[in-house]
Amino acid sequence: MIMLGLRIRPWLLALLVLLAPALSLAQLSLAGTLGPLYLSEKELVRAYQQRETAGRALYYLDYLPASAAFYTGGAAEAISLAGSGLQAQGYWLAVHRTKGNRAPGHCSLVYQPGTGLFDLYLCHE
Amino acid sequence: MPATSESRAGSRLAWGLLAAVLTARLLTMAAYPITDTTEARYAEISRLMLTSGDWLVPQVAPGVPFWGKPPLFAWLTAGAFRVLGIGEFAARLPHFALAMASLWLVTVAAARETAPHKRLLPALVLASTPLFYVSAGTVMTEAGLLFSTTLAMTGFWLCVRHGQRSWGLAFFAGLGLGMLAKGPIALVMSLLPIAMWLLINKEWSRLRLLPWTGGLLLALLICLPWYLAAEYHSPGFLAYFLVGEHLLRFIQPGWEGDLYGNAHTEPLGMIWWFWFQATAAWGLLLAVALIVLGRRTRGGRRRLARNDWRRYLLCWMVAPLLFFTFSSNILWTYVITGLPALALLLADDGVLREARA
Repeated sequence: MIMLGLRIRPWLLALLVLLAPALSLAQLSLAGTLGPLYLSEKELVRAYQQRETAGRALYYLDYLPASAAFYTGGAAEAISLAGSGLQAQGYWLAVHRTKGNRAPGHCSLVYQPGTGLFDLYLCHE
Repeated sequence: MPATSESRAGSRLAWGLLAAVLTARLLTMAAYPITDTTEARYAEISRLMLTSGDWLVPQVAPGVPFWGKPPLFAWLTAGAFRVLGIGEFAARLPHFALAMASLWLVTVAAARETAPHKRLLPALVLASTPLFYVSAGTVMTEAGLLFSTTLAMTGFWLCVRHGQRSWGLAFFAGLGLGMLAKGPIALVMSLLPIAMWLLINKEWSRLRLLPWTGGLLLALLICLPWYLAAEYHSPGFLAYFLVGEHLLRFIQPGWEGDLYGNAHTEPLGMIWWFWFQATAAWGLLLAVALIVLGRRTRGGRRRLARNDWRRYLLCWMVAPLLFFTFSSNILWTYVITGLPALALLLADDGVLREARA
């Protein structure tokens, strides 16, 4: 195959063409193993939905990623814990693991997703 | 190997590779979750469009209008949600379809300008550039922008160079769709390379071949009603979108008026590096080909620009790079409108033939 004056061997053409799909498949298969190669709250939301049976809400501490809103159908909300008054009723809390945020003392770590940057805590008295 | 059987083998290889790339893209669309931040925002806006029933003004949160982009991406994804249900595959499928339409357009252009056995090659190159591959399976505005500008550029060429007036209407339709896909930047990315080509060729009279009256009406009919209705129902939209997103974003480094994210502060000229990221091996191949062409053939690189079609492709390819060279608030996706030109240029082997003649 001649491309702009260069003769490209079939194997080289195949290599050039399949590079992007191969990298994409590698990213897909290695995500979670090599850390969060892409960011999404799907895994955390699924973990919350599998565990929640009592109608307790899912909150994100300070910042709500759009994927969390998408995968909860708009149900997840962002909160600031100061004066929230949520402790008594029990709730789920997603806390960003790299921004120095700390879950309150009455919350216990439940799940650490391989994708996304938030950890899931269950909070109750 | 005789030329004909070599051509047939090359054609079979091209078909096989194209099928492999597109199948991989299609099948993995449901395997990835919707990812933060851009794609998830656009998918959520589309979900809100469907659940709220407000198809006029996109919302970034219930009751909060989204003024950052025109609504084509949300219409397409929300429409797919309505038909297929809310999920990753439905969210991305319309963008894949637009990307396929862009591949068809470069094949149409190649059918007029490239040797018969190489007509599939531009589609193959375009489909396998990293930026196209990502955009073809992601909820973003890029697939819509690419289709609109490719329609405009292909339509313009076929109208003014080959006298096909129906493609002149396609040119204007591309401009109108571009306004709904990305906004005025779609006009810039279409009209700038055309103006460069006309300036180099000094053939402004060719503009008379375009169906101006019907074309302008068509373009306005496609985009103007939505812009007027959006401003009426969401006052302030036009000022933010046209002045903020399209002027201040590019001339003010670190522009702080962005309602939906942070300004990007890349070094000036970074767009050229982004082009290599977006094209990967194909951009490198073009660079190597230009070097080899200059060494192997006397005046080979100059011959590259002597052909009218190749001049058009060069203008088409470098226009986004020149435009964004002096802006620091840029993303790697901004080079996407020039990718079809790179693909069509690489498929052209006439320069070597002409140089050796």
